[in-house]
This record gives sequence, structure tokens and C-alpha cells, in this order.
Amino acid sequence: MLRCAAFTALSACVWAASTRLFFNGYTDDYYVRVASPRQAGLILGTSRAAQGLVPAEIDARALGASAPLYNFAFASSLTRYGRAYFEAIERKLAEPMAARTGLFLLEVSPLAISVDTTDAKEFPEQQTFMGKLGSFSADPNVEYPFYAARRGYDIIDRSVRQWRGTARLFLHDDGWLEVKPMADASIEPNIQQKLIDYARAFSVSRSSAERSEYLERTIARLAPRGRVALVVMPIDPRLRALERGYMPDFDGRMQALARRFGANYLDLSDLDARVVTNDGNHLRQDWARTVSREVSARLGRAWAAAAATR
Amino acid sequence: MLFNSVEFVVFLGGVFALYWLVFSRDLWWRNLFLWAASYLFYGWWDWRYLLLLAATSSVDFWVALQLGRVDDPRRRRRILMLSLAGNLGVLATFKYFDFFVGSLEAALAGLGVEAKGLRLHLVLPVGLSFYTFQALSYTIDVYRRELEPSRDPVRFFAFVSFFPQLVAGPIERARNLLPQFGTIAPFDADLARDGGRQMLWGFFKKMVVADNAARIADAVFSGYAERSGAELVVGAVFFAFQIYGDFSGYSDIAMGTAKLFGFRLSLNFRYPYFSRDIAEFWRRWHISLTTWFRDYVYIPLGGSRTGRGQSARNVLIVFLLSGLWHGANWTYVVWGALNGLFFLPLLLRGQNRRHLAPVAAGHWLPSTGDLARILVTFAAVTLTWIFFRSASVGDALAYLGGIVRAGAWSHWPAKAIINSWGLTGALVGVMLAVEWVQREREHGLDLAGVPTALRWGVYQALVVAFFLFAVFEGEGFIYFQF
Repeated sequence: MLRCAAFTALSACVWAASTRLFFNGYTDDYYVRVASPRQAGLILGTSRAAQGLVPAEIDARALGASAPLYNFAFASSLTRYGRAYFEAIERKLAEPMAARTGLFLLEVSPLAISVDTTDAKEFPEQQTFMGKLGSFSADPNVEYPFYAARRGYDIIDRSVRQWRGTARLFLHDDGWLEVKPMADASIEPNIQQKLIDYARAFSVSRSSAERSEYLERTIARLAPRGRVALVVMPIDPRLRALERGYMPDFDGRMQALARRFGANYLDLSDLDARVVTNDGNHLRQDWARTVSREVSARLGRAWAAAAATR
Repeated sequence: MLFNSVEFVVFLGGVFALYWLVFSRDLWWRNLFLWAASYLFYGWWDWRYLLLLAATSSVDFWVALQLGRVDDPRRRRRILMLSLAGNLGVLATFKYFDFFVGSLEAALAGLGVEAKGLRLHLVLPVGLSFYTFQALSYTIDVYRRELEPSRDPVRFFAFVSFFPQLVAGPIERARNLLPQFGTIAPFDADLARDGGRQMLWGFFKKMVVADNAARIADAVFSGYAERSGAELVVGAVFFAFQIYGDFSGYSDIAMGTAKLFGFRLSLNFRYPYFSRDIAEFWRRWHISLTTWFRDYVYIPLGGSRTGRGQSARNVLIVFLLSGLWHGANWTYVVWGALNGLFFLPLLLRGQNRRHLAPVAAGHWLPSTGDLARILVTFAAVTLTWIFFRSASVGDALAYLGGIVRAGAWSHWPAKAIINSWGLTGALVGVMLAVEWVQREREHGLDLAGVPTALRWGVYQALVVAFFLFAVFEGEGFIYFQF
């Protein structure tokens, strides 16, 4: 019995040590976010926000927040608004140091409130770590490896790339996923492929009442804690056209939602023609910083104007 | 419940604790507890399966009792027929009825006759092929007077349903396992530790080797028409290691689990991919099934005591039945037939019992000749696995055609795919290396006599291997479908 207990304890220690040793910002796109402490201010949404909003470029304190922002956005396959993401957010939230001084930026898009009608599981993210992890702030998060498929391959492949200095992705401690710029010649083919992928996705998707409800619940959960802003990220104009064709009333719905909860609606689609993306959907890293500063500036002006009119 | 699931870990922990702390002092209560635990394990899939298991077990228990009382040969034969009809009838109905009806429908359609609505669409109960054969071996051995019938129903039901081997073998002989339900041995720490090691090795083979090999094999077999020759060969090779890691891994877990309770199950695999010819392969692969067919089909047909022609016929019958046992698809029949055809030349030349000792016994490495024989045997076996894995005979032939068609080797997959193959290949290599070193021992982690520090180092290296490579998304075992 003693040996069995010793074996179990030693194995658990080796498992925890392996988690700490092998998972880092280079080897996994998500782990750092589920192993960092609870946060009082969050950036939420899909990969557009994960790559496009840089916490270090958004002056949260200037915007009245008591803590810096943390990027807790993941990917469309994981963090469309729904029960899994809502419960994960609850487990990531920390109480702000002073009442109502949190800051929350929710990236919104038509796909984030849609479901794939061809998927047997209406909410597939429930079957991923997003729906199954007990904690999103354990360090090391020893549960995470159970849900990270292909981790061995990725850890080895990316560790080699890191060693060679050719790593393309890096997940910062503040949750921002930095993607090294692609060669210019790759961008347009990537955009063309993304347009095909999105056209296919929209052809089999429909607006989801449950996802919309969970977006509302998320806003309702966060609004009492501080300031909330719904953010529409800039993307390639051709992709925007596809989105507007799929969900023509999206802007109206988001504006009404923001008004209902006293949140800001920050539509950055006026920047579509100016920004440079890697694939039409995700901002290039330099433009991620620029857009993040723009978010900071626009929100600052909006809240200053609101304060002045009171 | 699957062995590689949280439910099984909880179940096993609870059963182990209750067994040794509460129920191991009294034989009847011990057997009753194991019977109940086994039914809980089996009923976890679908409680309705328990009715069938209980019914067939009841028939076999009664049949054996009658065989113990009746002396008249003709009456004994009729009584045995009840067990045969019951077990094989259930197997035929659930497993083969729709297959043969489907084949009949296709044949009639070919003649312009439409015949529909004949299929039963029954779901195959998990483990049916295994426990029916296990129960049949009992009643046949009683009929042959090689075994006394059990008069204790609790003991008998515990034997038939013993959870470590109920759903995917080994197919235990009553003369090996049933007596173990008639005695209580005290807790054997060495046996339990060895069982734990064997389970760990089984989980490694299943979750690290087989499930990673499966990803490559599944990707290749599902889209074989677009694959290059190299990919098709690699896909077949990885399937060969998938099925070995999966099935032998399950057997190791079953044997290891049984050892935790003081039971010894029969060896089911003896490093078959180190075989030097097909005859040796079939003495090392799924031993419990091949010996079952040998003892209950081949030898009653005359075995090799008859002339060469009849021996060849008997061998082919056994291989065809073995193929059919695996499933209701012509691919399994062709797989069995191919193995039989590869076996026949050895039998006819009297060379089917050449390699009885372990390969390279007493040496580190095989001779060049043995290595060549191992590789040729592996290639032949892998060729047959293509039929085993394919959805239809047509698909298998197309797969093989894809390997040799013109231009099949003119392009190679992307570097990322080759890297993925390489990593999985390394995992397979680790498994083979360990089993090569351990080829004269019962299982890969049979580390009796190895210094403690080294043993624990190996265990923790496996933990790291699980951390990096184990597939946790609950892949089932291949042989559950049989």
C-alpha cells in the first residue's frame, strides 16, 4: 500500500513538473491563459481578439480600471459565446481591487453567436478543455494536458523552432498571442483561402439564440464589475462583406445590446481598408498594437465625453 | 466501461479495496462479489446485455450438470448440442444474420430479384464472441470428460463473467481459470506489483503507441485513393502496430488486472512481430483463439493425423472460421484465407514447427537471416492486415493497387507529415525495443530482479511518455467490435 501511494505521489509530481516544463508560450497556444492567476479585467472573444488586442497597448488604468487587461480570447472553435465560455470566464474572474473598476472588452462577430448546422454537437466546445477544465488559474494546470491533443508533437516541433529562432507563435504572459508576420507573398493566398472557408462556414451556419443569450449573460455578469465594451475588430473588407451578407442585422443587434447594459459599442470596421492582416481575419502583429492603441484612445474619448455630459 | 477511462480507474480501485478488505476471506462471498462486480462492469455499456450473458451462462451451467449425470453417448451429444445451439445460435443471430442476409440480398439483386426488409438490425453485444467461446470450451471439456462440471452456480457465473477478460479476452479455458475460483489465495504483493507493471505496459501500448498509430492509419485508409504509394505503405504498417498495440495492450491490462486479485490468465501474445515465419506468428498472436480453434475444430476434424490434403483442408477451414469469427464482412474471410494460404506451404513441407525457441535466444541481436525472416513475415502479415482494416474487399484491392500503380511513388508527403510519421515511428520503435529486450519474459515490464532505482526510473519515464503522447480522448479497443 505504501509503495502504491509512493508511486502515485511520485507520478503526480512528475506529471506536474512535466506540465511546468513542457508547456509555455512557445509550445502551446492556450496553456498560459489557463495557468495564470484570476484577472480583474479581461479581453474576450475569438482568435481575432486573441491576436488582435494587445493588453500592453491598452492603458487600462487611464480608462479607470484598477488592474491591467488580460487577453482571455482563444479561437472560434473554443470561445464562441456559450455555456462553456461563460463558465470559464466565471472561473477566471477576480474581484477588482475597488468596486466597479474592472474593464472588459468583448470582441463580437457574427460567427461568435452562430452554430454550425452540420455539426452533430451544437456546442462542440463543451467537449474541449474549455468545457471540461475545473480551473483556469491553476499553476501548473495539471488537468490541461488531458485535453490537449497532439501536445507531444507540438511541444517537440515548437521547441525545436524556438531553439532555432524560427518560432512563429508566442503566447505572452498577458494572454496576447503574437504571430510573426508572414511573407507578403503569402498574405493574398491566405486571404483567398479564408474567404473560401468563411463562405463555406456561413453557408452552413445560423444565428444561435442560445449563444446570443450567453453573450447577454456575459455582459450582465461583467457590467456590475466595471466598464464593458463590445468591440468589432477590423478585418479584410471582402470578409466584412461576407459577414454583412450572412447577418445583415448584426450591427443593429450589438448596438441595442450595448445600450441595454450601458456598455460601449466600438465598431472598428472603419479601419478595414487600412489594416494589414495575415489572412484577412487576424491582424498582423504591428497592426494589432496599432489597433489596440486606437481602442484605448476611442474608449478614452467616449468615456470622457460621457462623463462630461453627466 | 473502457479500461482507459476514469470510470474504470474508480471502479477498479473500489473493487480492489472491497475485495481484499472485505470479501477475500470467504470463497462463496468472494465469488459472489466478483460476479456482481463483473456484471456491473459489463452492464455499464448497456444493462440489457446482462440478460443475454445471464441466459447463455444459465444454459451452459445446466448443460454441464446434465453431462455430469448422463452416461448415454447419444443423450450426451444431444445435451451438448443445446450448449452449441445456444451459444452459436446467439452468436449467429447477433453477429452474422444481417451479414448473410445482406449477401443474399445482393446476390438476388444481381438476378433481378428484390428482397428487402429481412435484416434484424441487431446491435452486437460487447464481448459476445469471447464469452460464448469461453463458455463453449467449458461445456465441450465437460462433454469430453476432461473436466468435472461445476455444481456451484456462483462460482461458474463468476468464471464466465470475470470482468478483466470478459469483453476482449483472453478466451480462458475452464480448466485454467475455473479452479482459481475454487480457491482463495492470500494477497500476493509480488504478483500484484507485477500485475500493476503489466497494466502500465498495456496502457502504454494502447494509449501511446496504438492510438497515435491509429491517427495515421485512419487518415490514410479513409482517403487512400488520394495517397501516394509511400503513404499507403506507411498507413498499412502503422495499422499493423495499431492493432498489435491495441489488442496486446488490452490483453496485458486484462492479465495485469487479474493479477491484482490473485488470478492468472493465459498468455495471449508472445511478441508475434518477432516471428520468423507465419506458423510461428500464429503461435504467438491471439494465442487463446488459435488454440481454441486447434482444440475444438482442427483436431476434431482430424488435425494433421489425416493425409496432406485433408490436413490442408482442415487448416484452411480453421483460418476461414477464424476470419469469420472476427466479424461479419468478407474482408475478414479473405484475411483468414490469406493467412491460411501463407501457412499451407509450411504445413505441406513439414516446416510449420521450425521456430519453437525465442528468436536470438541468448543473443542481443538476431542473425541476418533471422532478421530477414522477421521482416518478410511482418510484410506478409501487414499485407493481410490491409484486408482486415478495409471496409470492403474492393477497397482493400484498390488500396493494394494504389501501392503499385504507375506514378504512385513519384511524390512524397509534406515535411510536416513525415515528421509526424517519424515521431509515431519512434514510439513504435520504443515499444519494439523494450519487447525485444524482454522477449523471453512474460511482458514488456516484467522487471523482476531489476534494481529498484532503475525500475522506478522506467516507471516515471513512462509517465512522461504518457504526458507527452498518450491519447486521452477515450478511443475504444478494436477487438470490442468482435
